[in-house]
Amino acid sequence: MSGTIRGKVECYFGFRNTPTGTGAGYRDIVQEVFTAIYKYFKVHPNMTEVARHGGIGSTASSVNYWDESFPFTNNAWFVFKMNTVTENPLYIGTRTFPWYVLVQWNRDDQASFGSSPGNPGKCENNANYSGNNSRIGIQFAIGIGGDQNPWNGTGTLGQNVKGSPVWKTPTGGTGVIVYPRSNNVGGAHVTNKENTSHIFYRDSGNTTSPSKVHIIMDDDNFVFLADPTYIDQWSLCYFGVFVPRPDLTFEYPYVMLNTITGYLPILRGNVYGSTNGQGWCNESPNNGGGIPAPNPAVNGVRGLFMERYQLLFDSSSPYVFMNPNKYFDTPVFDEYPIPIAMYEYPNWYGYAGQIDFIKETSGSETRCRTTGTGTRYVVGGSTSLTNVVKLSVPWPASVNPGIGLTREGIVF
Amino acid sequence: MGGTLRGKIDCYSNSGSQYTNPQAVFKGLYDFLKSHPNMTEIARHGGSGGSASNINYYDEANPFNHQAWYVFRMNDATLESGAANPTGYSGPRTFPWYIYVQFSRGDVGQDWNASPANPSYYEAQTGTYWNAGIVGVQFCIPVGTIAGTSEAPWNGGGTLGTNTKGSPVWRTTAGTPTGFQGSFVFPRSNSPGGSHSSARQNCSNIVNINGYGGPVRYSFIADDDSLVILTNVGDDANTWTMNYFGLYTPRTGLTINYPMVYLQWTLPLAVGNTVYGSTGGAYPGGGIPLNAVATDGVRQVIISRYNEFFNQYSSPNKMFATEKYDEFRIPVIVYESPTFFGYAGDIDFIREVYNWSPNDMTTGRLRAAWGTNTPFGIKLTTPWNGVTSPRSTFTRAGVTFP
Repeated sequence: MSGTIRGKVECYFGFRNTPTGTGAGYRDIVQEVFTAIYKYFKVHPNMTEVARHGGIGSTASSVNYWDESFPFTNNAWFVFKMNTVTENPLYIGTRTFPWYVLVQWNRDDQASFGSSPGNPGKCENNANYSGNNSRIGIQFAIGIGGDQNPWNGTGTLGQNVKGSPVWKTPTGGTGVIVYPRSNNVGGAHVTNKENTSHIFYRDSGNTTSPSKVHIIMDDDNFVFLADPTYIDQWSLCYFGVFVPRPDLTFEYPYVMLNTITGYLPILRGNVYGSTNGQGWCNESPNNGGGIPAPNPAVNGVRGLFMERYQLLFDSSSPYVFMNPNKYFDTPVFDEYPIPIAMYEYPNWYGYAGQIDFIKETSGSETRCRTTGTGTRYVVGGSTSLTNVVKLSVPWPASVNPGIGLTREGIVF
Repeated sequence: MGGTLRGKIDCYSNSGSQYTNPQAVFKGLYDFLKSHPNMTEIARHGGSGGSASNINYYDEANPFNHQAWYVFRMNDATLESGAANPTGYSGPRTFPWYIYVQFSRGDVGQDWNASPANPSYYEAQTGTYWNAGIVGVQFCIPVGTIAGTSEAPWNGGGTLGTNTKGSPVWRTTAGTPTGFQGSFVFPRSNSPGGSHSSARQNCSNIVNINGYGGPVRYSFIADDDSLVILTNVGDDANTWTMNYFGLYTPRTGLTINYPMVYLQWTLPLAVGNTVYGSTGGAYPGGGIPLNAVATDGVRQVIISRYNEFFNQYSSPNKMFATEKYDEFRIPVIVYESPTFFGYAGDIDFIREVYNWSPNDMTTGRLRAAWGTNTPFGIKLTTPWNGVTSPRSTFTRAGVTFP
C-alpha cells in the first residue's frame, strides 16, 4: 500500500426531478454510478486514462451524467491505468508494474452487453442480457514483462474500440493476467478475455429507491462499496495488494474480491473466481475474483477463498460480543486482516497471504467509525445488528458517515 | 522467545502400573528442569516419608514418593537473590516465572491434599484418586518493583528437600517484602474471583493415568521463556495432553506487561465453547494475566482458529514450487464476560497445522506434530530437535538436547 488514501465517498443517487421535469429512472442511476467512477478515476493523480468509448451514438465528448450534455450512453466503457514510478515520479510505492481497469455499463432494454461498442464484452459470462436491467461490469489486467501494456484496443480517445482479445501479452512480454479468473488459462474466456464481474445493478423490481456508493483508494488499491437500494446492504469490489505469506514470493501480489450482487459480509469458504465466468455471490464458485497462480504468465489467475477466525466473528457464538476489546484501558475495536487462499482443487490451492487495506471486524454498528473520528469505516450487515461480521475500510477523518446526498459525493 | 531451544523428548515409561508411570513423568520433568541452565530450584519435598535425598525414579533408591513436589524458577536477567543471571538471559521477559509440580498415587490411600503436599487441589478436588497416578502443575508470575527479592512469590518454608508449603501457596500481600505487589497464579481459579483465590493451591493436569497399566510417552520442550509438556497415555499417538506456559505476541497496539499464557488440554485444542481456566478450577486448565495483579489477576482464556485452512483441501500449500505446509499461530483471547474480554495476541512457540500424519515433522525435523492418529485433522506443532523421529525411543531418559 502506498500513497495518500483518497476517495469519493457518500455518493448518493436519488430519484429527483431533472431540470426538464423528468425523474431519474433506475437505469439512469446505473449510468450515474458509472459516470461517477469515471470522474473519480479521471482526477486520481496516479491514474491515466488509456481508452474510452462514450457509448452508442456518442462522441468523444460523451463523458457526462445522463441529464447533462454529452452523456455516457449505453455500452460506454473506459480503461484507466494505475501508474508506477515510471509514469509518475511521485509514486512512492513498491509496485513495479501498472495495473489496468476496464469499466462498462449497459442497459439491456437498448442493446446487449456484448454489442458495439462494448464488444467483445460479457458480464457474468453473459453478452446478451435483455429486459429491464442495467448493470456495471469491471475487469482488471496486468501485463507481464516487456512494455507492460496489456491493452489491445485501438482508435482515438472517446471513440476507441476494443481488441479481440481485449487484453494481450505486452510487446516483448511473456503473458497477461486478467481478473476475474475466467479470462485466464482453463477459463471460458481465455480466448477473448472479455468477461467482467458485476459491481452494480438495478432492475425494474425497484424503481423508487436511491443508491449509495463509496470509492476508496490509494496508489495501489481500489475499493468500491455500493448500497444499491439504500437499505444498508452493501456490496464490495476490492482489487489490490495482499501481503504474501512468509517465505512465499509473489511477483504480482494482487487480488480481486468482489461480492457481485451479494452483500457483505464476504462469504467465508466460497470460491471467488469461477472458470466459467458466472455465478452470483452466494454460489461457489462464483465470478467474483481471482489471484495469480505461481508462474502467472503460464498459469494465470485462479479462484480464491477468504478466511476468518472462528468464534470472533460467529454471530451464533457466545463470544460474538468480543468487540470492542476490553484488554485496552479504553476499549478498542479489533480489526483483522483478511486471509486469502488460492483454490482450484486439485492442482491449485494454498494459503497466499492476507489483505490489510480492507479488514474485518464485529460487534459494531454499520456505517460508523472504529473510533469516534477515526480513519476506518465499518460497513455491512444491518444497522440493527452488531453481532455480524463487518468490513472496515480506510475513511477520511473529515467525513461523517452517512451525510452525503449528492451524486458528486465527497472527494478527499 | 529467548535462549537456546532445549528438551528432554520422546521419553517412554512402561512400568506396567498406573501408579509408577506417572512417577516416571514426574521424575523426568524434575530432571529436565534441574538441568535447564536458566532455571533455579526453589523448593522440594521428596514426598511422604521422604528425605532430601528422595529425588529418584520409583525403582531406584530414594525415589520421589507420593505427595512429592518441587518448585523451579525460570529466571529473567536477575536471580531471586538480586544477583545478575550468570547464564546471561537474552529474552524479552523482565519478570521470572515459577512452576510447581506434584505427584500422587491413589493406591497408598492418600488424598491429593495430604501432607507434605498440603494445601493442594487437583482440578478443584482434594480427595483420593484411588485408581490413578497423577502429576499436577501450577505456574506463577510474581509482580515486584525491585528485581530479585520482590519477585519471590513462593510462600513455603524449610530446607531444600523437605520444604513445606505455605498457605497461601503463593504470596499475595503487597509490600511484603518491599516492592512485592502480588502473584499471577495459574490455573485461573487461583486468582481473584476464582474458587482458590485464598490458598492458591489448585493444580492442573500433566498426566492422569486411571486404571491403565500401559505405557506413557512424554516430552518436555523449552527455551528460556516458554515450556511445553506433552504426555500420551498408552503411547497410541492419539491421546495427547498438552501443557503450554509461555509467551505470546501481543496484538498490535496493545501493551501487556506479562504476555504469558497457560493452556492445558487434550489435542487438538478445543475452540468451540471451551474456556481454558474456569473460575471453579476444573479442567481444562489455563489462564491469561491482566495487567492489574491485585484486582484482576489471571482470567479465563479461549483460543481461535481459521476454518477453511483446516480442511483437507487446503494443505499442503501448492502456492510453493515445492509444496509446503502452513503452520498457523494460535490466537488467544481473554474471556470472562462481561468485564474481561478481548483479543490478546498469538502464540508462536506452539502452532497448528492441518493434514499432517501423527508424528510428522517439518523438513529438517525442527518441528513435530501432535494430535490424533488420523492423517487428517488438526495437529499441534512444537519445536523439535532436528534429529529424533517421534516414538523411536523406548527409554524413560528419552533424548536430551541440545
